[in-house]
Amino acid sequence: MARYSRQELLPDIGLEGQHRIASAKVLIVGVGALGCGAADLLARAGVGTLRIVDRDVVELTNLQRQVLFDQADAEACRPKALAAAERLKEINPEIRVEPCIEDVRPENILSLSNDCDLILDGLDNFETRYLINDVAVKTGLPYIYAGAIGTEGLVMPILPKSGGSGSITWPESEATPCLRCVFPEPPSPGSSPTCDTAGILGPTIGTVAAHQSAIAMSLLVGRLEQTDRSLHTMDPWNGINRRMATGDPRSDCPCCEKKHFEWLDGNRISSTDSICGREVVQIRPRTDGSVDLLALRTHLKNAGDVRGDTHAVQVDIQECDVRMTIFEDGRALVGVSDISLARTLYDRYIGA
Amino acid sequence: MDVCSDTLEDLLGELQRNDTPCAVERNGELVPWRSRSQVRLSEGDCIEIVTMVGGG
Ligand SMILES: [Zn+2]
Repeated sequence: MARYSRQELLPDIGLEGQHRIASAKVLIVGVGALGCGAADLLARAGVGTLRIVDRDVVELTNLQRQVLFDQADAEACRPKALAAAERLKEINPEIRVEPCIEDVRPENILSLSNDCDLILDGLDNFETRYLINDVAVKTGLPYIYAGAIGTEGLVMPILPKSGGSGSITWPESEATPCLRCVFPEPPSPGSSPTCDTAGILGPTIGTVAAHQSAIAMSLLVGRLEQTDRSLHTMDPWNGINRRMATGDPRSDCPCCEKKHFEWLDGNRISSTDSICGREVVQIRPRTDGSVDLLALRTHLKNAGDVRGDTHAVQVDIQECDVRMTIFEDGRALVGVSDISLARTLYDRYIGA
Repeated sequence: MDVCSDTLEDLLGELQRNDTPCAVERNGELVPWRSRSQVRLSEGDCIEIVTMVGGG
């Protein structure tokens, strides 16, 4: 096919590689900046089916880096999964795109990942990444972790010990550490900056999304041994590109060795959030430990007016005119009436 | 960089990196989490710290 002729010329891909790419099904969890960048590249490369999941709508502040969206999407508050799917079909009508407007949860993730060959990380929070890691290890799917903040980004492909259940398989000797082997615990809510508090550079997104897409394509065409499986740090703003060899899976890993799927089993996922009072939703995280309110105050200063002390911090978020109060135990009261919007704002500003 | 810590764990505390999940490489090798308090630092050790990133 003429469309793919230039990539078929690459000896590592060829006609056979292109057939493998065309018959693959990739799950992209989250179509924010990284998800957009990766979906764009993989759609152009001819990945047969892209299933894209996102719970959010397009906003004006997304357009600086989320390459599948435009002004009209933001003005219409279009769900990201839908807007992305439409754009991808325009880019390449030969592929199948399955948009899902959903919050990724323990209850739905297995049906979303079912029949996929690979999971690609386009997420904006830690909690869902640990959930995806559980799913990858439990089902044996390759998971390409990626994240970005400020001018820096990380990529690490995870080939779980369970050996592969889709079209990509590998011997246990080729397995890599899982997310919990390298980062056993996520940070407590609020202790870590988010893109909405610390900012994010567009070209960093391009670099990270390109790297994770290259790894995905490399795995899909069967270049298992040659695929870069290190923890890769990249910062195009400062000319940094570093690899850290992660070695073998840890023999004491709670996830890939002991098979404790704490997020997938629901024990570590925020419990059902509740509406409490008029125009207020309570978000209750289940992450152990307390919030560093002092650090949180500093992060939130970019978001709006902040007040409060060591027990609670309150912020009037400027861009959406919503008041949020965060308590030491990670609980937050969000001044909106819609539960999923409250969750989105919580993840965005508290960064659970 | 001059530091006064004896162990890797102390070093992370000294650099205020103890609270965020990070991967630490010492002379080209990833140090498992549980060994950090046992790993003694020597003159000229090359330490790389990669903090987990949650945006995207
Ligand atoms: Zn593991």
